[in-house]
This record gives sequence, C-alpha cells and structure tokens, in this order.
Amino acid sequence: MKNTFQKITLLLFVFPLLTGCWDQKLIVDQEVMNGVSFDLQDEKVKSTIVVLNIIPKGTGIFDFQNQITSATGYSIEETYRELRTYYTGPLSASKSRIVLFGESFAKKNLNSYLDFFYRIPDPYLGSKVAIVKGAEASDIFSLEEIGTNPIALGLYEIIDASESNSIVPKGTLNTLFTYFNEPGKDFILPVLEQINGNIRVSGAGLISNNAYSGKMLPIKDCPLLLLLMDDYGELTDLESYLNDEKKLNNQFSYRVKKSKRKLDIKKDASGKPMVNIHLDLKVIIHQYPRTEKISSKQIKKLEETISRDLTKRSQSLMKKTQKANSDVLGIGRKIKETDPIAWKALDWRKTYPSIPINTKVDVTIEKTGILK
Amino acid sequence: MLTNKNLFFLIIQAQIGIGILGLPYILYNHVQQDGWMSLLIAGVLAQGIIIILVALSRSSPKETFYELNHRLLGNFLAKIVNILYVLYFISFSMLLMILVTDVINTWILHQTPRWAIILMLLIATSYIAKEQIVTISRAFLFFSFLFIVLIFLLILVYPQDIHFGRLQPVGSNSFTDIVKASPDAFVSLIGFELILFIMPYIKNPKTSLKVLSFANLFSLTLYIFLFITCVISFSGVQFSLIHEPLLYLFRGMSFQFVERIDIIFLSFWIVPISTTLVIQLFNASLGVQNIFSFQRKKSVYILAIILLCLGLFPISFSMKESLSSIMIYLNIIFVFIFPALLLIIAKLKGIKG
Repeated sequence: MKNTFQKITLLLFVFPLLTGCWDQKLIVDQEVMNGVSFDLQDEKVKSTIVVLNIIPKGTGIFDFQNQITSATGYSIEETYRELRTYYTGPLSASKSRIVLFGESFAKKNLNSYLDFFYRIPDPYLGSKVAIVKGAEASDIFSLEEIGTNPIALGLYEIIDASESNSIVPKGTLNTLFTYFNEPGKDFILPVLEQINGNIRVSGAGLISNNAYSGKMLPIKDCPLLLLLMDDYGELTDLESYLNDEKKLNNQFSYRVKKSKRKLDIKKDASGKPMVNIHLDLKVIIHQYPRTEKISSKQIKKLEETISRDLTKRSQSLMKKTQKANSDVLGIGRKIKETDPIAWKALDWRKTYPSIPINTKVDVTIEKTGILK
Repeated sequence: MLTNKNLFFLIIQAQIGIGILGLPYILYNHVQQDGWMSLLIAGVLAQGIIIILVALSRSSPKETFYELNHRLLGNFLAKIVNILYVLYFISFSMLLMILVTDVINTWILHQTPRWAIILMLLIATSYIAKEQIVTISRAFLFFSFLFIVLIFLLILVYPQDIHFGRLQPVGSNSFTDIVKASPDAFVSLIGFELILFIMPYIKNPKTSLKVLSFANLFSLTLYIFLFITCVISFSGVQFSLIHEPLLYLFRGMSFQFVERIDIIFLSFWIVPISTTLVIQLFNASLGVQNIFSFQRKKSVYILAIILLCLGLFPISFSMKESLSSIMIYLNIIFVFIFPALLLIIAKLKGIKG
C-alpha cells in the first residue's frame, strides 16, 4: 500500500514536468513564414515575408492565402522586429522554403547579412536561395501562386527542378554557409526572372567573394559549367549544331550519362598556376534533326563535332568566370589543399582572372536512344 | 553476472555521450584536418590505460576498486583516496550536467530553467543507476540502437555536398601540436575506468581485456568516422564557428518528410548522454557505500540530491570553461596515474589474483 502511494505521488510529480511548461510552441499560435526576400532600398534593407495561411474548406479541401508584408531598416534584425508587429502570433522562420535576394542586395557581402539565419537554432537551413533579376525580389511574391502551388512553395519547386536539370548545383542556405567561409571557392546561385506574369530560372548568377558579380550565365551553358564543376544533377542535357551550321532544325541533343573530370594544376616558371581541365563524357543521343539511321561513321563524326563544340564552349565559359572573378571550380581551394605554401604566396582574388585555363572535352556516344 | 556482450555495451555507453557533440570542433580548432591523428594517439593512450586497469582489477577480481584500496593502502589512506574518487565522479557528473543543460537550452528548450532539465535528468539516471549492474547493462544494450541511428545518419551525409579534399593537406601540423591536442580527444574516450568497479560482477574476467579493447576500438572508430565526416562537410572558417558540429551537420540535412533532424537527434541523444551519467553515479555510489556503509540504492539518491543542489548554483561561462579544462587533468590523474601507481604497489606487495 505504501509502495503504491509512493509511486502515485512520484507520477503526479513527474507528469507536470513532461509537458514542457516553458517551451510550449503551439502551431496554432505560430505564424510560419514561408518565404523571405531582401532588397536594397536607399541604403536600407527591405525585407518582405510571406506567411501562408491555410483555410480548411470542408472535407479535405483547403484554400490558402498569402499574407505579404514588408519592412525597411538598417539591419535584418530591425526589419524582423517591425515585421513581427503585423502578425497575430510569434513569427518563426522554422519552415521557410525560399530566400530571395534583389540584384542590388545580392551585390553586397551576403555572408554578413545572413548571420541571422545561422546564429540561432530555429531557422530552417534547407531553404533554397535565389537572386531576382530585373525587378525587386518582393515583387515576385505578389504573384501569389505558381501553378497550383502557393508562391513560396512554387519557387522552391522551380529551383528544385532546375537543380535536377543541371542548371544550378544543389544549394540551400546550409551549403551557402559552407561556401561563404571557404577560401578559394566561389559558387553560383539561380537567377529568377519574371516574364509575362510567369517566373522562370533564367540562368546561373556567378558569385564572387560572397557577393553577386552581376554576371549571369544563360541556361544553355549551365549544364556544361556544372560538368566542369563536377557537380551535375540527374538530367544533364546539351546540344550542338550539326556541322557547326547554325540554322533551323540542325541541332542534335544528347544526355550525359557519365562524366569524369580531371583538374590538373601546374606551375609555370614564375610560380603562377596553370590549369588543365579534361572532361571525359559518355553521352546518349537524345534527339537528332532527322529520323534516320545514324551510321557508325556518322557517330564518329558526331563525337568529333561534340568534342570540338564543347571544348570551345567550355573555354569561353571559363573566360566568363574569370571575368566575373568567380572561381566556381574551386581551383584556389585545390591549390590550398595540395600546395599550401604556394597558396599562401598567392593573392587569389587578383590571380584567378589572369591564370591560363585550358579545357579539353572528349565525348563518346554510347547509345543512340531506342532508334539506331 | 555480466557477459561479454553486456560488458561491451556498458563500456561504449560509458564512453560515448556528450563529448561526441563538440569533439570535432575542439580537435579542429587545435590541429585542423589532422584531428584524426590526435584521436588515434588518444586511442592508443586509452588502450594502454585499459591494459593497466585490467591488470589492476585482475590482481583481485573479487573486489571493487574501493575495497582493493583498503587492502593496498591501509584503512586511513584508502578512505581519503576513496573520498577523492567520489568527489571526482561528482565533479565529472557536474560538468556533464552543465554541458547537457547548456546544449539543450541553446538548441531545443530555450525557456526551460536549468534546474528543471537537471531534475529530469537526475530522476531518469538515478532510476537506472540504483539497479544492479546487470539490469543497468541490459538497459544499455537496448539503448545502443541509437548508435546505429547515429551511424546511419552520418552515412546519409555523404550524398550531400561534401568535398574530400578538405582532409588535405595531411600532416600540416607539427607532431607536438597533434600530441598536445590528444588530451582533448582522450576526455571523450573516458568511461572504461568502470572496469575497476565491476570486476566482481563479470562472468569471464579473463576475456575482459579483449572486450574492453573492442569497445575502445568501436568508440575510437566512431569518433574518427564522425570527425572525418565533419571535416569533409564544413569549410575551415565555418568549422571554427560551430560549437556542436554534429548537430549542425544534421541541421542542414533535409528529406522529403523529415526536417530538422538535429533537434530530433538531440532529443534522442539525451539517452546516451544520461547513460554516461548513470555510470558516474554508479561508480560514485559504490564509493559512498564503501565509505559510509550505506545501502547502494540510498547512496544513489543522496548523490542525486547533492548533484541537484550543485546544479542550482549559477554557473558562468568562464566557470564552465575552467571546469572543463581542469577536468581534463583530473581525468588523467584519476583514470591513469593513480591506478598505475596502485598497480605498482600491488605488484610490489606481490598480490596475485
């Protein structure tokens, strides 16, 4: 009897503790922001957030409504404090899907602004990050929805799709945190553009020294850059012109099945690095201008055409990254890892634009689809 | 009686705990990507100590360490040593509790006061620690599935954005630096001193050395695996910013249906952390039992109350730092130097098992 009594008192004592009285965060009280954007306005930060409200409409049917608010201030914290006052409950970034930067904001040192997301444990680091071209980032949110998705989720999906299509490498707030602090390696961010009321990923923005360089690569070059970076997605499609003639219906496209990249760094007499990149691709012909049998002789010729075309294009791609001073391949990082003494002697920001980078692409066609 | 399997899981649960959260950060800030070498050195050191401890406890397998002290040192001296050991275990538990509450407060429960977390922790741990060692070991065996979860999660990091090159250049630090960092790694391997107190309960004392070595190898391999996973995932400057790299590693992961694995993981990882506390309480309670001839159950409760009272004191950041650095030396004294001295005394006195 005494034992049972003891047990019951102990349970009564323990149960209140189990509920976590101090840290209750009821989901109904929370206002969960789904999307965040930052713009630069008169040397102030303009933050815009989207809070998604889900309205149940009877059995299993839901409607949604975005509540979009903006605030300006000298720091993200300041705008956040102002934004909080618009909402009925505590704001939480624990479910944000997308972080957008206006072009002018992106040209600032992003690292120092985003500290807000990294220093406290609540914000979600799986959000996708993108730069908005041609308009304020906050304008994108006013579109309310993409297809049937609420805007923030729709943007997430768009970027996710472009990652699998090898337009941009997989990237989230978390990978950004890694790259911000990595000497000798820059990265790329997807650039969004609004065209006739629709939003699309229009290219890859080259980031230099944690800030947007203002230079963007068009989508048709992106898969090749990703191959050079050795960071490509599931579907990597490229196309070339037959006989290098740029005319109607003269393109054939191919999908990269396997890619092997070799990055060699040598030093010339003065200690300046020289880079040789060799790309070995195994591809499948995906589309051909004519529905006819491709003979093995033709395949040889196609292989040569692709190799020549891609070598030329990759050469100019590397020039573009050098012009933007954006070492997306991490050549500096490789030097740092393999030759730390040489790395210390280099001022990489000054060196990278002027080093010679040679590229060579070799292509083998493995299949021609299900047609011969 | 403890079988080999029971012993193995007892030891790894005693070894792996809170240290795993911050270990990569500490090592990286000392010797960067060469931290795994420090770990290896600490592992070899630990192995040496295990040999000494096993030799010592085998010199009289029917007695616990506290009883052995009485025989080797005489009653008066033994009492002092035993009290010191109990104090050592209390301060170890104290540091452990401070670190746990710190992590929980910063990562999950921001508002919950320290005493509440400590109270919960002590209720749970003393509930297990008051039982027989066989019961404890069975509970630990069950808890060990969490190690599988950890290893699985660490493997899931590999398809993410990693760069193996971050492990290079290998050996950029001098050998002395690497050795100097090894005490930090050694702290995380502490726990095998348990063998001194459970020798009388072991079924096959002859194989205990082998089992302990395997347990040590397991912990060491897990730590090295974790360290390498962290190094290839984080860039250099980022690493120096993150206190709990393991949690941050999981913070960045996201899957279709599960997000914020860091918080889910930490909530579960409280269990391996408290098992370390259970072992400390067990060790200390044996000592209290020996010194004051209380019942062991009762001494666990007394220790829990003492720890709760100590936990109520406000601890400043600098106090925590100094306590952790003192603890590194105390560990080496109490786990290595003193048992080694005792072994020499035992050999001189010619005691054989």
